[in-house]
Amino acid sequence: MSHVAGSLREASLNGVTYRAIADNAVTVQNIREKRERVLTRYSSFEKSIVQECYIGNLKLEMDPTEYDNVKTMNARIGENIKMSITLADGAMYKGEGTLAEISEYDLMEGTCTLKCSAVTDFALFAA
Amino acid sequence: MAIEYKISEESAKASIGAFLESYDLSWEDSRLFLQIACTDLIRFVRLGRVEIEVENDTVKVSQNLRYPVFDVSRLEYGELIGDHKRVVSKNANPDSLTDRQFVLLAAMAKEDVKLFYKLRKSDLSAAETLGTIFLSL
Repeated sequence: MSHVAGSLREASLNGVTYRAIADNAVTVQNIREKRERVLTRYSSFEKSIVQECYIGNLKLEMDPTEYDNVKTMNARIGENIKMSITLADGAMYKGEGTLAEISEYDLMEGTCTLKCSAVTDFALFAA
Repeated sequence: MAIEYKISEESAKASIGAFLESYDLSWEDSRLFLQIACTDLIRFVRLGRVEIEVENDTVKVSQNLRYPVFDVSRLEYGELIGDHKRVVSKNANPDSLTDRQFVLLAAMAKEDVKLFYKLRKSDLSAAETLGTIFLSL
């Protein structure tokens, strides 16, 4: 099935589903290892760099209590959060990790923007 | 082919009894649907599909999936707290029992609710049985 580009549908944190805000540019960085070539005077050689896999700019609709719950679940050191996001076509990115960034709560819109950082990477399940 | 049970009926009943006791309930509870669900649960516990551990005052219920979904083969339901019920009233369709069951189980297992939409055969039956019990507690 071809991918349907578009807004994110929803996101789930520890089994609780939150509606994603439409027309928000969510980014997925799911490349665990980056390869670079190091140049020397003679031949170049390859270098592998491990980098963070994350879902950024994830803007979710939640009420103040839910925002508090999200903050609390992220404060438990050593306990990973189970995270998944559902794309417009129903495909899903799923992983475990922490919330690297939690924005301030927007009372006017009832939203909060998150950055989900995975322990390793996110698994993609096609629609 | 006869079904092979891993656990005896007495042991299964004992673990479910301990589970009910931790919620101040008993087998003779007046609510009929809870009795029916617990009778169904005996079969799943005997088959090893559902595991119940009661230690001191902590209840641990887990479900082993015969058909893994999204690479998940074991669901561990944490202790039922008010927050889980709150999620049900906010996110689930109040007219749909299945929806309420799945939203509650998803919150307890910390898994995406869509995992429950894809459960098959006895995994689905076991989840619905557990959903009925947890909703009635």
